[in-house]
Amino acid sequence: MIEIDLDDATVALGETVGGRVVWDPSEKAPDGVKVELAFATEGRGSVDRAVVAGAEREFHGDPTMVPPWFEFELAVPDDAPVSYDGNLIRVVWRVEARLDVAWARDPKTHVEVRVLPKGA
Amino acid sequence: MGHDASYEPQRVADGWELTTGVKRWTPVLLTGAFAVVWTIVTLVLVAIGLRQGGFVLLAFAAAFAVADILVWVAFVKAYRVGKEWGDAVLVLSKWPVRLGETTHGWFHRTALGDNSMADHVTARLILRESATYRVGTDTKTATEDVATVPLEVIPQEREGRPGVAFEFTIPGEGPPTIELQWNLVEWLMIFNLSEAGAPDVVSTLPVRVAPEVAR
Repeated sequence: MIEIDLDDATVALGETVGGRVVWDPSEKAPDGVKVELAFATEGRGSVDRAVVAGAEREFHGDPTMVPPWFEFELAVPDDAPVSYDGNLIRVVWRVEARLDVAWARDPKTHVEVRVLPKGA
Repeated sequence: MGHDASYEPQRVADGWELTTGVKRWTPVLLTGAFAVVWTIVTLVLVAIGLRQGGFVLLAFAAAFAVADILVWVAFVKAYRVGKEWGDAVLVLSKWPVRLGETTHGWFHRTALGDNSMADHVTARLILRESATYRVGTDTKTATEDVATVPLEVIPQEREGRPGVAFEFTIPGEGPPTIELQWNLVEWLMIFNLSEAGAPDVVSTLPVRVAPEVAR
């Protein structure tokens, strides 16, 4: 099991999305963890998608010493599109996390983030 | 993306100026070229139909001829707009515009040979979504106007040129301009002008709205 806990699910352009990825320590320890901040469009048009920031960490050595969490800070660029919910177009932001587990299916999850204009 | 000018206005003393410039003739040239090609195709169909005496081919040629007439009507209208209307000029006090901020504007477009504003001018600000997508090898765009704000215009001269003044405020909750490869959310100023003896004309100019709320 893997979860993402965000400090704040609403941020403005130019700010950072902070939080931590937490996983179940009773399950097999991962070799690494990767977190990405991405936006994608939904609706009538073809999909515009971009990963704007990411963080990752690899774990080496004794798996019992691996802490079952990973803290991250991901910056939202000034010129990125804001969250939008229109009639033909939606712009949705997500933090996506994935564990790299050897010889097993990699657990992954995501949470939505609301990105607002500066000063909102 | 469906508007008269690019997103790069010129800095002027009291604001930012967008102009349609030479693009006024672009639709005339495109429509004229299309009309000529369509006429050639129609004439070839008629010639083949007459030589072979085929009813089906002549029926096709007749349908092409009807469409040809419509294309030439569109060309004549585009030509008259280009010949009888001058360039559209939009001056805004701010560029880009911020959310929740009042912007003052001035618009000018006169019928040529009559240096006065059109008999009737209406203006509105719209929020338009344009979603482009692929269907097979075709590229299509769906558009929808999701908000319309009528604007009050007041006749006002600027540097000796007649025009209309107005003001508007983009709502504080937005949205700002969102311009992606396939998806576009934009604010447009649309002016409808009518003048006796000239075809009605519509000027559509973009307003770039920054993703920033004015304080």
